Amino acid sequence: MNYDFDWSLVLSGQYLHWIIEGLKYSVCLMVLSSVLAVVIGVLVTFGTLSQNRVVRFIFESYIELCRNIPTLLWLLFFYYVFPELFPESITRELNASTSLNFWSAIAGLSLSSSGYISEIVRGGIMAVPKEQIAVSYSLGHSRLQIWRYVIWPQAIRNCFPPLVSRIIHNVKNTSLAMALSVHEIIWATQQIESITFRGLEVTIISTFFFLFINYIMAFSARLVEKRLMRSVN
Amino acid sequence: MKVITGKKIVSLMLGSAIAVGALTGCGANTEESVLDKVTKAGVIHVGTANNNPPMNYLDDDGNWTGFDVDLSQAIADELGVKLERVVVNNKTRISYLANGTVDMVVSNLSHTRSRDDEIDFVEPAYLWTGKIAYAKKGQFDELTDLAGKRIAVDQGSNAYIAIQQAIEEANGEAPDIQSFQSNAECFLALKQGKVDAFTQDSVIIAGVAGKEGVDYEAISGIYSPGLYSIGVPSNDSKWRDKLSYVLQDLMRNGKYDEIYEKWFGEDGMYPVDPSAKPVLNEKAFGEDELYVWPD
Repeated sequence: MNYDFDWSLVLSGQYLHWIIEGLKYSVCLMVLSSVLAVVIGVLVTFGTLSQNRVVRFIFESYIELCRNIPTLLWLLFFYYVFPELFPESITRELNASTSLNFWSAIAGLSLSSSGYISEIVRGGIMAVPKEQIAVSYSLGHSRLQIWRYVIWPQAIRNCFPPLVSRIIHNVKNTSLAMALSVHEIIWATQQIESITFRGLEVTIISTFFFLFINYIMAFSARLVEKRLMRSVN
Repeated sequence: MKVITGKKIVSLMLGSAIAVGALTGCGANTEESVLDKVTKAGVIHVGTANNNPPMNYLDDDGNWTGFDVDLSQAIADELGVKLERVVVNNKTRISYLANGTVDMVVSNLSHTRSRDDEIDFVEPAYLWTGKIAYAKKGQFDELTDLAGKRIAVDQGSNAYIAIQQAIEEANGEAPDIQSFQSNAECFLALKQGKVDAFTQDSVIIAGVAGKEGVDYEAISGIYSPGLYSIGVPSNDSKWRDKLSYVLQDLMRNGKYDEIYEKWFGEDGMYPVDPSAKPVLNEKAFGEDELYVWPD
C-alpha cells in the first residue's frame, strides 16, 4: 500500500470545522427522523387496525407508498416537488428558506421508515395470542385496559428487535441527505475529498462514526432486550 | 444470538480499514511509465464524467457524447490504442488518477494549483473558458451583489473556492454556498428559487440551461478562468509529454478544429463567443494561431 496518510490536513482549520458540523447535522438527522418515524409508524399502525374498511385502505396504501419508493426519491420529492404543490406565494416562501433541505431530509427519512415501522409494530400486536384478548374480555376488562396491560407490553417485546434494526437502517440512510446539500458527515467527506483529494482519511473518519453510532445502538438494544425478556421470566 | 466481543469488533474495524486502504491505495505504480503500460496493453483508460453538457453527457439515446468524449477518442486514435472509458464525477476524477484507476482524465477539468499538487496536466489547456455567475435576468448587476446570497455549485467543482474568493476580494459578505450532486440539480435549484445564483464554467452553464437560458444571464462576465486540461498521474513526465505532443498534433492537423467546430463553432451545437480555443495573443501572432510548441 503506497498511500501516504495525511491526517493533519483534514483535521485542521476549515476541514475539521466541516467534519464537526457534519457530525452534528448527522446526529440531528438521526435522532429527529428516527423519533418521528416511530411516532408516525405507531399512529399509522392504529389506522391499519381500524374496523372501517376505507380508513384501513388509506393507511395500508400509505404503508405501501412508503415501503415501495426508494428513500432517496422521497428526499428529492420533498425538496424539489413538495414546495411546488402549494399556491405560488407559499412556494416562493418555502423555496426561499435556507433550511428547506434539512427539513425535506427529515420528512423523507421519517416517512420512508414509518412504513416499515408500522408493519413491524402491527406484526408485534398481531402476534399477541387472540385467546388472551378473549379471556381478558370475558374477565370483564375494558378495551383500554386490555391494550394497556395485555396487548401493548407484549407487542413492544415482540417488535423491539426488528424495530432496532430498522432504526439502525434509518441511521445509515441519513447519509442520503447529502443529495440535498445538507452538510452532514458524508457531505463533509465528499466536500473535503473534492478540495484536498484526501478521500481515504475522511472516509475512514465517517466510516468509524457510523460504526460507532450503530454499535452503541445495537449494544444498548441488547441490554434493553435482556431486561424485557427477564420481565417475562 | 452470538455476542460479538470488544476484541472482535476492533479486529473487524481494522480489517475493514485495511480492505478499504488496499482497494484505493494500490495501483499507483510510479516505477513504470503509464505510456509503456498503455502501449503494451493497447488500451487506454480514460476518465470522463457524463453529466456536464456539452463537455460530456448522455444524449437522448443514452450515448456518451460531448467535446471531452470526441477529444479523448481522437487522442486514443492518434496513439493507436483502444479506448476504454471509466465514469468519473467531479469529485472522483482526481483520486482515480492518483490511484491509477485511469490513465488520463478528460472531464471538464480546470487546471488549478491545488489539483496540480496531486496530479499533472497536459499542455496546453484544451479549452479556454471561465466561471460565470448565472442568475435571473435583471436581478443582479455585479458579482458583489451576490454577497451573503445563496449560490449553487456542483460539488467537486473549483467554483466553490473561486466564487468565495471573488466575492471576498471585493470585501463582500461570504455567500451561502450550496453544493449539489450535478449541474442539472444546480440549475433546477436556481429555477425554483432555492438559490439566487448558480456558478460554473460558461460552456457548461450554456449546456445545462439550453433553451431555458433565455430568462437568465451571466452577472458581469467571466470572473475566474477555467482552463480545461487533460489530467495525468503525477511525476510521469514521459506520459505527460507524449500526451502533450499528441494533443498538439491534433491541433496542427486540424482534427482539434474539427471537434471544436462541431461543438462550439459558429454553426456548432453550442456556439461560444468569444472563442474558447487555446490561441496565442492575436496582436503578436495573428488570428487563430493555436498554442502549440514548435519542434
